[in-house]
Amino acid sequence: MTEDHSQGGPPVAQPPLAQAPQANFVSPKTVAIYGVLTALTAAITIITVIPFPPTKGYFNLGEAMVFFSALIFGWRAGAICGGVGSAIADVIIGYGYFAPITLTAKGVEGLVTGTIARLNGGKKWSSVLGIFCGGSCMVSIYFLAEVIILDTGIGYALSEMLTVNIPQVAIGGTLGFVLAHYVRKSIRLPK
Amino acid sequence: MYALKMSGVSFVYEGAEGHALDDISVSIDEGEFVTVLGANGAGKTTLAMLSNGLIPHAIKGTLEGSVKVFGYDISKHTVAQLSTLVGMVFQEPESQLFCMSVEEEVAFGPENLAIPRDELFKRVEWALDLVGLKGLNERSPATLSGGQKQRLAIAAALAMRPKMLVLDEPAYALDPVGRIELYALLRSLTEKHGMAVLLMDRDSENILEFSDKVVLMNSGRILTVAPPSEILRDIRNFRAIRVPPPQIFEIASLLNSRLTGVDFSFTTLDEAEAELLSRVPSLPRRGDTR
Amino acid sequence: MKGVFDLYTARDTFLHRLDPRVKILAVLFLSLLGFIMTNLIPLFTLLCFIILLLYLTRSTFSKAYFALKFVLRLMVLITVLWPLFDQSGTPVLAALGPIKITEPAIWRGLTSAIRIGCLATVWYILMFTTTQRDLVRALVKMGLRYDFGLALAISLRFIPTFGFTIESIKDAQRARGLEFDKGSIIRRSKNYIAVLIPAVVYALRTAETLSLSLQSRAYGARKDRTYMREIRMRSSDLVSLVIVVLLFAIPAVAKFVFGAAI
Repeated sequence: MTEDHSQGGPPVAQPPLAQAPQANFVSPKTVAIYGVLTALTAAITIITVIPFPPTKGYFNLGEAMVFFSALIFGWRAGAICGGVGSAIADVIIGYGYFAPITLTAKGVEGLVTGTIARLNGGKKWSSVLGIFCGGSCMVSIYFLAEVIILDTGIGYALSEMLTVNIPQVAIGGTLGFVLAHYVRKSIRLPK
Repeated sequence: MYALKMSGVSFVYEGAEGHALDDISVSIDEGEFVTVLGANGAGKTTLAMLSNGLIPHAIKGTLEGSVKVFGYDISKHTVAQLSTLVGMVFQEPESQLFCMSVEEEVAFGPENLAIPRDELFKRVEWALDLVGLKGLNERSPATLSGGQKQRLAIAAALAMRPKMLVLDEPAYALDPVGRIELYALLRSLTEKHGMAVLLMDRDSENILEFSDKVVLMNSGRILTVAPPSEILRDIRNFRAIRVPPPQIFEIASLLNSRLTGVDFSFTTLDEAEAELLSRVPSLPRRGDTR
Repeated sequence: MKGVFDLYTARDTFLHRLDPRVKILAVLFLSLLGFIMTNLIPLFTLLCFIILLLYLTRSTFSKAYFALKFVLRLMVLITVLWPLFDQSGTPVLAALGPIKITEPAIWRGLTSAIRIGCLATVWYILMFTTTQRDLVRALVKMGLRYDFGLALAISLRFIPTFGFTIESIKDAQRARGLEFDKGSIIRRSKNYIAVLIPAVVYALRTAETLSLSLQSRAYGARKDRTYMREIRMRSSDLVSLVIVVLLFAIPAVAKFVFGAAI
């Protein structure tokens, strides 16, 4: 197998691999899809920021991708891509200390949504219920974590819940649902 | 030995109706530069993906016939095993570069093949030097120009030391200059390093200059396999595959169809000059500008 | 726009050269320290120490401003909102109907705000001085499976790409009259559907090529995969690691073993 081309000589091909033991990695398709969904979740979280005038809060549409991933690719993708993607976004825009909480909150959100959406043969109402339950989990985890772990005080946690998290879930959930509907109809999905 | 030999190959994608490839037989010699010309949907991508085993290993469907690269049957070896024989470059420059630095991108393949560490460094330097990206090791692939991205994709394939390179419309998104640079690089791989190059393209402009052999494809079938000079003899070749012929050649056939008593057959600028000047003897000349 | 996706600033400081694993551990330990401290003075000292380190990263002003803007807003919010919901303790400083502001509540609010300030800023030390590549490498070295690390690296690599894609789709849809900066929330969100759908389709197509590209380059071919670059712990990294551990251990022991009030 050793070959000498230290002089930058012409490429010498090895014989096709001897039967070396293969790595037991997840499939390349999984790496690609999870990597891309995670990136898209993070990118959307970072750049689609919408102000919420009634309370002067800001929220983003990253939620839509968490729900989308969960509805289309199942609970595992929802949990991993939603959780990790949102956590990366937190780290990148400077809420790093929030990342572990986000990872949990959005991870659970994706997991719950994906699981419930597949019940009852994946009917439309299962998706809606899934989004509702997933979203509720996310909002509660954030609230509890802020009060108990970060100790930000009930005031801050409550204002965050009302001005950011609840509108974000409501709008993100709707968008995620619509997105999944369109994408399921219009393109052939990689399996 | 043949670099690539396909005999009686047909392929239908899973869930699709028609044949993507229909009874294809073609062979490529070692060190040969072959251009496959065809419009969208001619089957070029399918042909490319067959040559390194992505079909049938990664993309499912019904495959008939046999495909051999350097004597190895692609259906009996994994894509990873075949990667040391056939390097693959895709059309879209952005999505085939997935690492955070140029150096990592080139090292990725050999690392997977468990090449020892000091050898990795040599290969990376060698491949980057060959494609003209030396010194950009730490750059992020996303920040490179379109032409540089494609050359990086080539370097990443070369670092696995294949004997053949397969490229699926690599110059599609490039400007004419970037395109010629890319083709010249590929030509040098065949000439200096004896590699076989299989280039899928729908741009006929440079085939004469760079290819040894041209394959014309339309809707999954091979129409003609011939040296470029022969292909350029008949404009009907291009009509049949719905690919525009080289412009200079188009001018010749336009003149032939509009004028009587002429039969231009030039295929390069020099030939055009000579033939055209010989046909208009009556006009006064400026001094020899060449 | 690049800056939005990567806080790293290329410099040649001690913190830049430090082994990323040590930096990750330092962030964790300093955060834990923030959690176990309950008094204002130690927390304030910790915050000053973190800000000193942050200064030593020699990051650009714009990035530091970007970072601290968020943190400051958060700290102010907590300080202001805390006393409104925490009515315990005396003396009462002001009372308006059912709401009363007590002095201990103000101090508790301030303490919590400073703790959050510590937790929030300590991350920037890591993010300003470590490339995303080194972060992933460090995580893999610390036990993350290589294939998961690869997926993580891929996602980091594609965040700016997708960011630009989304921006250009937005521009294209804007040219067709869709508003993203004006109008009601409902309308704006609805308009975003016209951005998200093409973005998702583009991303899934990217995933397809990506998967073929990974396979063409022998992904997963062998168990004994080699690595061209590896992070190594040097003696200076070890010393730093010891300092970081002591920085956490001494106050922790003082508090939990000797009952010191920190």
